[in-house]
Amino acid sequence: MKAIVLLSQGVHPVSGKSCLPRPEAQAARLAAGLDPLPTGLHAGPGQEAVREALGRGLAHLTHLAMEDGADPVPALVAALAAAAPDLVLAGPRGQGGADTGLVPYALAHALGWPLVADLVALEPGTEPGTLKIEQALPKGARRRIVVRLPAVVTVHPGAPAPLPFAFGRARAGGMIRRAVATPPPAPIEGLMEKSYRKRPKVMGQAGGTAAERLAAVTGGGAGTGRVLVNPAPGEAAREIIAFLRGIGVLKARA
Amino acid sequence: MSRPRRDPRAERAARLVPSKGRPRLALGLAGGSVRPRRDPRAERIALEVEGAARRRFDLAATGQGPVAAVATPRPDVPAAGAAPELRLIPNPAFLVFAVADASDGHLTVQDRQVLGAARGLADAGGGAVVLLSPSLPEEAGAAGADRSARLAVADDADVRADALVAAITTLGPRHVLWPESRAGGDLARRVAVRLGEDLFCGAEQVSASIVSRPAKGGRVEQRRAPPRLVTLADGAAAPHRRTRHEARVLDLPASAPPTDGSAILSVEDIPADPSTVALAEADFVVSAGHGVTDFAGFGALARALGATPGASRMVCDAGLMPRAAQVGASGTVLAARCYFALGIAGAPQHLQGVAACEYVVAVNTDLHAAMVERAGLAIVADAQEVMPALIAALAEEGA
Amino acid sequence: MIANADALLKPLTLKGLTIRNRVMSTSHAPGYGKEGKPQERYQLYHEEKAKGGIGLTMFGGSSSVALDSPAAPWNQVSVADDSVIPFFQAFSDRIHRHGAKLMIQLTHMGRRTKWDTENWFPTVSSSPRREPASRTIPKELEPEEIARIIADFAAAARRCREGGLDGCEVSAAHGHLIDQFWSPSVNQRTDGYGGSLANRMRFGREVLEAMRRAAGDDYVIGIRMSGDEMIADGLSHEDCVEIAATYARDGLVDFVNVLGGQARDDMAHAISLPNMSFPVAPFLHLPSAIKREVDVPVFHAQRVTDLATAARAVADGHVDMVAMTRAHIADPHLVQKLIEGRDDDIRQCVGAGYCIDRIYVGGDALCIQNAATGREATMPHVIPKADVRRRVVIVGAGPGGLEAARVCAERGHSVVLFEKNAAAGGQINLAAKAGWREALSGIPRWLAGQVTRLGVDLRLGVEASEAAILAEQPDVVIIATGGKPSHGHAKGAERALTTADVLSGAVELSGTVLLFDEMGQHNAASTAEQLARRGCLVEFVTADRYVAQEVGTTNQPIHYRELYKLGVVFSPNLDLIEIYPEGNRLVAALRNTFTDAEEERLVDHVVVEYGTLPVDGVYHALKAGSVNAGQIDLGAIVRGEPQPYDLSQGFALYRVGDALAGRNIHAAIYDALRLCKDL
Repeated sequence: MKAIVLLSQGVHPVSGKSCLPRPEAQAARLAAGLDPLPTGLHAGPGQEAVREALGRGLAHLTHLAMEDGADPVPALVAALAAAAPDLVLAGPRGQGGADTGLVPYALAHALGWPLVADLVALEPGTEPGTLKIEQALPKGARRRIVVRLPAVVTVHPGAPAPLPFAFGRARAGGMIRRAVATPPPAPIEGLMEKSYRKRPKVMGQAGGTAAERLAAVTGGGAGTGRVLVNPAPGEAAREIIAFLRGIGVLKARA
Repeated sequence: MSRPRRDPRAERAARLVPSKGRPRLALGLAGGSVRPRRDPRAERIALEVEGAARRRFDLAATGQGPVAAVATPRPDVPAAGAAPELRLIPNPAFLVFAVADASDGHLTVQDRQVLGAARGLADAGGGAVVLLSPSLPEEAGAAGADRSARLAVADDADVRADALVAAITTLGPRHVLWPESRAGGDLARRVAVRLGEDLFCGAEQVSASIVSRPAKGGRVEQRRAPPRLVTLADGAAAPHRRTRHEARVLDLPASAPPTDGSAILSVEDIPADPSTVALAEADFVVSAGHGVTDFAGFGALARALGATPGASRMVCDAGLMPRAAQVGASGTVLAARCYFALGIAGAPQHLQGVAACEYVVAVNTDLHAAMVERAGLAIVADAQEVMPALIAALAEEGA
Repeated sequence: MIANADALLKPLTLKGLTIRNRVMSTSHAPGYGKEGKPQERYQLYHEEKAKGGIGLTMFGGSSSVALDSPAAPWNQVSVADDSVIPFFQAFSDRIHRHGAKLMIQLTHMGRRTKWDTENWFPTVSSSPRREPASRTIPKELEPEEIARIIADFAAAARRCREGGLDGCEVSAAHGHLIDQFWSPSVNQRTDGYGGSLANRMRFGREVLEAMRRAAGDDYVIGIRMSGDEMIADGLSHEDCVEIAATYARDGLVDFVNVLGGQARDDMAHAISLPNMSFPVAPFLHLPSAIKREVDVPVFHAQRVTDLATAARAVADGHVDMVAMTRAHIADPHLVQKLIEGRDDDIRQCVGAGYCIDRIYVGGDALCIQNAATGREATMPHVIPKADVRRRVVIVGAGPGGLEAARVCAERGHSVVLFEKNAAAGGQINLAAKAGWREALSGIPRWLAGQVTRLGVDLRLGVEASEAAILAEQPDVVIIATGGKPSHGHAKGAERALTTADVLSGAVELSGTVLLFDEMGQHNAASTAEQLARRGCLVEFVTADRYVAQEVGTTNQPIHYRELYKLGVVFSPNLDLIEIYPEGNRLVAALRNTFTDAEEERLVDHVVVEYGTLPVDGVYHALKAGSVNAGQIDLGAIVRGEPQPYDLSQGFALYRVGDALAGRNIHAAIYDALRLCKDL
């Protein structure tokens, strides 16, 4: 199976230095499990951090060198169409550019391939040309999907940890640099940039009269629930189960 | 809003009866004393006039009990406990789509935030909010939706994206908002690439004039006027409250069925194991307090319910449950949808930990416990007796 | 260690000033000021927090900058002339020695003060609207006076800098002069200082600009302000966000210290200083919302009593620094204990409001549970070991007995503590049963935890007899048996139940209840609430001028709110003179305390609160055998010396707390601390 991993120039969350985003290193490990010679593909101006992927399991890299801010999608589509892999793996969001996480979707759409997000594990499907994927759902749940190849997948942070960095492999791995001419990046109208400052999440609820705002703070919301005083234990149990089913937290028994 | 009117002098005079010696107040009570006998509460009730928005006391009343209303209702005085005002937007200037995850048929916290943000964008220019969700959640109107439409779920996310694209193309909303959640973010990206439009994703601020988001590895903040397609980071907006909206059901145009077979060949869901889910993330928590003595039974109940076990401070202090299980301000603050409290009275710091829980079920021997007041369903009984009954009932169902 | 503790321990740099961690104490008025200066007591109080690891301590709540904002009513600090500078220098040296930073709050109180104090100048404000809390009608400020006050603020900022303080904040919260200009609930002006929000913000802007010019642009100047006045005609949340964002954007403030509410009347005051009836950190959403809009650091105080909540607030980015002011009054060493991983040893604030309630009746701030706070010159926060190890037997594990056991064990003595009930806590366990007073249980919970950790032989469920005590061969016996409720002195008093009967659950009442209260404290108010909540029709009668007269200003409004909601009838100015039966009901005879006119109530139950009388059986049994005949040498206590009794001749016998005379929790704990620290 031929696997290609999309790589980006990330930023380390603590040091601020450029580095390979962890999910992409995880993707490299997954790719190495399917393809003895997995390839990395990076589109962008620089490539320093991307080289790390060679030490994380990739055999060689292709760097589509282009101007900062240019749209990488057309060049990537062309490269993928030419390489014709069975599987393209990406992080949940490439880093260093607009960080929108749109690129895998744009590629899948342009190539007409399915995309499955948040993959934590994969293995070849029982039928040839298929892949069995385990997808992470919120709060620890999982979904098993069988998908027809070729396909694009994005890797969830809960996937297996990256391979330990192998210095020798990083040195041995090759990198092809191909300059790509792109149209000058079109600035998005009305977009301003400033240095980022973390904002807390909005707490509480906005609006209301002074009295309502105060009541929200001081609590004292009168009980509006149903109260059963001294029911028989069996009746209490039935009531509780009915309530829990009603709100959907108690799953029906298999 | 309730302003009673009273006249203590009249209240007293109304009860005065002729007597020798000390003045005597009659309350309709037999008494052998020469001291006046009063019932201040009854005196006050006797002066009450019915029918006014605020409680009204007529000083000229004779003390013969509630009399018919002479109050002329004033429209500016809201009646006590009135339901929130219903706002109708029959002819909106434009539409704002709020696309909800609404897992299990209920709006998630993030869905409510998206509706709150959509409300803000709509109200800035006379627009209406259209909620699109897999079901038609009953809380949609209270959460700020003027219209509610069903966007069916499908195993293949692309099918859902096509349906949404069809709705956007037909109805032409000014904005489409999603939660930047697993499902919402995925759907938004599929729609954006289909429409070939920019997606402003993970917005941390949203108003009619500005949206902002981090970019370039968190080094810069991008700001602009809100574009059409926006996903909202968790906590970017407050949920809507105050006014109710009609959430009138809207039928979406049928989208063309997929022309070729889906590439998704099969889908199988594996629910999470509640016993291993972190307490802070758990969806359903059952918690033991002072009123629980059988912890083996409690553990069995948690497994039978498929709930994550928690505990009160008292139980953790006593070493009966690990400290990591402690629910409350000084323990874990929950994000669960449902909290089931067994034998927990509800100290303030404990209630703080369950403030975000939508539903609370309480079993407690004290009718006046704070937890009973907080609960949507309260059983005043001994938790130790209810627990085995619950286990038995669940086993019976399963059998 | 608690989750996110590292978020609290990261330094914060603002304008070249690096604060070692994210925990602070906000400026408050403990009533320790003397002659308008922060003298030794005041400095020692803050030094203890600096020793205990706090990052920033701010003193001098409402320190006055002008002569028409008197400092005297609060026993506070006056920064209106240069004579305060040497005190600032000594103070800042003292705090800096321990690595902490020191700032002050400057203000002009405007209408929120009194005119009949040291200078007898009228109070002033933006407009002549009376404030209920201060009870004064202010004079409307003329432009010349505005200019003078701006110059006063500027001079005060210079004095702070010359005094070596690390910065200052201007108070524009709780209804001081700057927010009296901001708030449309006060400001009715039609000149350039009134009308639009921009105009109403002008006075504050001019004050801050003048302070910056006087103190230098590199000096840290912040502002304390409300994030929502929460009154119909006041500043909305959006107004407050705009004020903060504008001042911050224009470089006028280096930090914003946000709180919720205002304080113009009794209820507002109780809300702005939230007691234990409130959830933890009830107003955190306000600094958080401002933090979303401003680029300068945001501070916040208001019932952040535990480090888990504090750490969560900082880690989630809602605030940059979290102020744990009352938490430091309860335990000035809480940061050090956090760093050392001893968070279970932190004496957590329970939110009783005892500290604040005392200062609003002209007293000094004292902690309900930590008797050393504010008494640093005489009372130790860390108990030193004794030279001689004694055998100490303590009877009764209420607050007094527990504190005695804790201090004696810290001294290194061998301690046996008898408690006849199954749980420690004494009368606090009763008080904590009443509605919103549950958090009081934190006091005995901490003490019992300490006592256990220190190896005290705690014998629960054992009533100490004379023989059992003497069998321990004690050097010292401390009687902390507390009090039993008094039925009072009315004729037929034996027919009454006591509040303790109700709170303990010994009786469950229904029907009509006349509750008579001679004490004016929490007990009766809590009992009234408890009864009414359980469906009783309660009439709350007191001989005082109003019910719950002795309950302080942060608690009394909460009692009133709950009692009014529950329909309890208030009948003050009536004394209970007789209770007699009629059929199967009771008649309570009442006498008006002003006219002597008598009247009656026919009710199902009469419940009374007359305080407690000492439980002193075991004391009298032991008295004759003790070397000191049970007497405490008061002179030695006041001088801070050991009791002068020769223990080689037998055991000394002492009493503490309500076993001596019925008072309160603080009295019991202080009795125990000051006696035992020298044993």
